[in-house]
Amino acid sequence: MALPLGTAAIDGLRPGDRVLLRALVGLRWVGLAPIALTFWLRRDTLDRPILAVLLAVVVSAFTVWVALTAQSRPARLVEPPVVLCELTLSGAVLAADGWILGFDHTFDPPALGAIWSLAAVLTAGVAFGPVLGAVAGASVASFRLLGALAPVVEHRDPRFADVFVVDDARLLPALSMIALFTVVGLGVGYLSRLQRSAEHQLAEARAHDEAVRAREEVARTLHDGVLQTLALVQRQSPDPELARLAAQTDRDLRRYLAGTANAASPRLKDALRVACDTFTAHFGITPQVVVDDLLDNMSPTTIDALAAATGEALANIGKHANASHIVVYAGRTDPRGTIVTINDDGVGFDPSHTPSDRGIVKSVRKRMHDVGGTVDIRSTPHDGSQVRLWVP
Amino acid sequence: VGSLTVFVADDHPMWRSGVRADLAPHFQIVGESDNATDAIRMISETRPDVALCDLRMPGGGLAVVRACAQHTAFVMLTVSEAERDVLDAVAAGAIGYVTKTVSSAELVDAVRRAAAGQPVFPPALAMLVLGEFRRLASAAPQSDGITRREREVLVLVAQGRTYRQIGEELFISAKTVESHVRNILGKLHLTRREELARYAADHDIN
Repeated sequence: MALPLGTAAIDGLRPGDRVLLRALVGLRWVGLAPIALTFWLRRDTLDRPILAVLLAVVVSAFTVWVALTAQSRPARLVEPPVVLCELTLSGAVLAADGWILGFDHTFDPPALGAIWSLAAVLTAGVAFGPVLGAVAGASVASFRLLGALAPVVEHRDPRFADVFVVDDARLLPALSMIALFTVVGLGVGYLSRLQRSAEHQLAEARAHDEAVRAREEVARTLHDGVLQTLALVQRQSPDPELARLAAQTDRDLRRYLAGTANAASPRLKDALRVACDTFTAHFGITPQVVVDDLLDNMSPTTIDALAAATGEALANIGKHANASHIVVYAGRTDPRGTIVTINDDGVGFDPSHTPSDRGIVKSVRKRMHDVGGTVDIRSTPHDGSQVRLWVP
Repeated sequence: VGSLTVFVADDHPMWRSGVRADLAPHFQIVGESDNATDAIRMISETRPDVALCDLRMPGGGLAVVRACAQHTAFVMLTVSEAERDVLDAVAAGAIGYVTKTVSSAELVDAVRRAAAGQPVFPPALAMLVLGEFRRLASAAPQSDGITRREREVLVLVAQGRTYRQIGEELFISAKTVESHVRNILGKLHLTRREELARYAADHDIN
């Protein structure tokens, strides 16, 4: 499957379209048969024999050219000038009905070049889509009516000379052919578009899969080697500076692997990680970030407020708490709302001795209040603290 | 040196020697291996109290857990938090996991707790387990999920609170919190097994 898609990129033609165009070559060869057969069987009664020969030669030549081009450069067949040329030729074939076989034949089923002309309408549908495909079908079929304008030739068979009257019975086949060609142009155009978008989606999905697989492969390699070594250095290096450097590299690598560089749709998880990274750079402790994957579709304002408040709460812990473990959690609350908690195992404090309108607490409250949220701070001396940020 | 016995399975020699240095003063290290096949054989022979097992060594840490979790408490070692593999290992019977950036003191503590049957349950794992039960509940609504209380406990573990703190918040003892966590692990283990059995039945695998 990868191969046809690869070649499609070169000549700009989808594999489905190419198959259809090849099939249309066959349809044109089949379409030649009734034209040639009719001319041969009625060779003695043709109104304009020279025109008949000329038309047969041009249509055959075009059919040969299309067959050759379908092999060498199929994309040419759907280029607008080529398609217009073919549509005009098809119209001429249908109009010639009346000029060669007699104008009354205009209204006799079946039309001389119906099959051959249909190929042009199908091509137009593929090339131009459903609307223009329908227009092409209607136009080409309408050309048949031009046959009625053909002047009566003197030597023609007297049997047909005076029986011609345009009535419902005669008009109906011509009109039904116009309807048929219109529907065919519309239908093929629609199906072609449908198939094209399906192929497009398939190709995109495949490219995405490959990118994900490549990233997983990179991640696995890094996990098995580099991250193991970095973990080892962080644990066992006697040099704290080296350990700090390893931790920094570790974080950068993980962030790359997680693919957080997604600026288009800011996510709470990424924003919280950034706040934690800033904290780690200052205080050397890496908070654990635990985020419920179900959290989605939050407004950027809310995310910013939560991340900023988290950053302030962390900075407060860094300055006063003397903590060794910090967990930043984000999850849903029942029945609605989102909660972010910042939990540490530091020295804690006595909430009754910390006025709630002072300094850091006040600015966190302000941030949350601005997005309609609340702040709750709990602590027991010597037993850590917990900051809870809630937004509706 | 204490009487608890520990086995270390990890394919990185540097890492094994580091772990050995950390644990040797506190436990008896009864063996080491760098692949799953040897680990299964040696753990079955030595029957240690606790096995520290790398999730991603040759043969896979999961295979070792599946083979030996009946008689040995498994603590998984991983370089990254809360991978799906971790959840699989826990569902297969591991009692918890530690990341490889863990400090010496924490590692010793984790081994002690595992030996006492206390789940070593970091916040990220709690979140994974919550997600797993949500998935199970939507896949098979008639199956027994976790209770409301168990869910509360999981959320508080995910927030980074200790069993004691959770107990205080929910007005229950730390022991009760611990048994809730053990029950959750048991249910996870059970539902996974049922799911595997159902899958096998549905797909006619013998």
